[in-house]
Amino acid sequence: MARVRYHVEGGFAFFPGLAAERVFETEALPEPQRDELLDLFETVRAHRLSSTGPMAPGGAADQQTYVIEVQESSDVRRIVVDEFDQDPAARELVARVRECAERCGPATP
Amino acid sequence: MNHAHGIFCGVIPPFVHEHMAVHGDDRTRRNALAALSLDTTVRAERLIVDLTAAGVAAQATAHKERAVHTADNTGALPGTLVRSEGDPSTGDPAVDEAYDGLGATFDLLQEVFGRNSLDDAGMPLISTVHYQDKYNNAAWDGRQMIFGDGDGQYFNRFTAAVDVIGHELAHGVTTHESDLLYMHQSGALNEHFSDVIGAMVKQYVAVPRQTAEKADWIIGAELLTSAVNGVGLRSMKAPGTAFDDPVLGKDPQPDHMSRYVETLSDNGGVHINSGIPNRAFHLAATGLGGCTWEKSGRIWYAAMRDPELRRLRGTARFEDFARLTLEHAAALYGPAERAVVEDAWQQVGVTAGTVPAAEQVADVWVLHYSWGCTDSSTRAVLTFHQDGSFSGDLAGKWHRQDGTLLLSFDDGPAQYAGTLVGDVATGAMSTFAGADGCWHLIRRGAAGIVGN
Repeated sequence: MARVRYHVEGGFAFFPGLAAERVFETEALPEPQRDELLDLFETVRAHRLSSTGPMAPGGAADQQTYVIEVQESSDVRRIVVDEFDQDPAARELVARVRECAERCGPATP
Repeated sequence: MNHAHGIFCGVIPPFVHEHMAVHGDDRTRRNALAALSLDTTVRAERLIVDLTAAGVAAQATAHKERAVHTADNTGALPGTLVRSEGDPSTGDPAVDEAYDGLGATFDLLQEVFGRNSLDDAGMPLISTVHYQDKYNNAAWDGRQMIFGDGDGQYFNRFTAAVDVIGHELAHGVTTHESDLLYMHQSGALNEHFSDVIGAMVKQYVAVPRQTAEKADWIIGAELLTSAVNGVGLRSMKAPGTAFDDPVLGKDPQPDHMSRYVETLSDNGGVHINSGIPNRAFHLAATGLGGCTWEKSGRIWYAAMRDPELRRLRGTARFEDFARLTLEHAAALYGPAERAVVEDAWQQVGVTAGTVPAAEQVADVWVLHYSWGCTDSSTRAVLTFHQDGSFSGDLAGKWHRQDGTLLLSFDDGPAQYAGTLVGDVATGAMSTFAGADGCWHLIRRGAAGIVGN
């Protein structure tokens, strides 16, 4: 079982209400989706750790970033995805986490 | 300092004279310069300096080159080109608003500041609308502008507000000028300058054009739907009051340095703490009177272009920018205008940083120099004195002009020139047995330096 935390930072303006962290348990997902989500997270994370590819162009402003954390027991892994990231896996991960965050509801504290 | 102004901000605004001075024939140029000199001699002199061959050539060739694309509600960038320069309206409000907003901002930059697009070299203005689905944002990715349609529930399409378009384009200007690092106070200054340009565009395209006194100073007034309890995204006049809504939360912007928000969110609060310099600009603009592009906007633009700000880049603080605005207010207009700007910053709790050059440099430094720029260098401990001399392992004279440090030596013809930033100076040297060399200078005891 893993706990996923997700929040959005940045953007044209700062809205405290929209910056709130969303949390859900992967247990709330059907098993195939749960595994796919965690596999996707690890794929994107591994790619980022090994990547030497070009960075985003300099001078960017007002971009939103998606901060995603996966916690399993005491192990917490975190990745940050820029909204204009062209990595298809990263975009897919953000889409799935957003969908889950809205569908799965809050985790119990 | 406030003057009575008509709704058109003066009969013939100074920028018209400046435009004539730049674009007119010789007689028109002389007349325009004469008119400017009646206004402020310093500014006329500055304009004459600006009328270099390169400057005139750039402005004479300035032309808009807009390209609006649609992402068709996908994440594709730049997407499909739907309107190029000179094309007629498309009937798609987002496309046409983006096209018009790009044009309005280009016109302000050119007509007021004599600037040829974002890079001052005719850079095409590229934008994408209909980005993603119900995308609640507008952004600058370093190359182009990107606008969402909004979710329709809380946000309208982001092209609906011309100041938002001006804001995004101004990020391009900042990139090509000071390139302020997008975090903490330097990032808040980056955001602040974009709001300044955004507000100026909004006031410039208003019919009739608005004075600082008449403007509402709301950024993104058209963006929030009626479902939101708010008037816009930010208020430059009263930071912290733009919205207070159950869903969006309360506008977090401080209006005074005493309420500066220390946070790691939002790149260190770049959209939050920008409220402080935003209010300073509003106070300066209303204090100076007239339209923002007549005085206050020119002062801020000059400060943003100051090489000192680029040198500071990632370490620039509000007090640094405030100091530059004071310097440019005095240089462009005079002591009365400088006093207005200083008062504006003081009202938001920012004291302009004033570090006399002698005090900053007078200290013990360690010089490392290498003729021929080889891997090995010689080390010398030097004590810089406030009278412009230095002594120690070597003796001579030092001179600092802004961020440039010049050294000459009592016992030889060597000339050192370099750039001083904080505790480190680096540069080149010449005239030693016909060779050139490299040097760097580190303040003794500076962080990270061992053995000094």
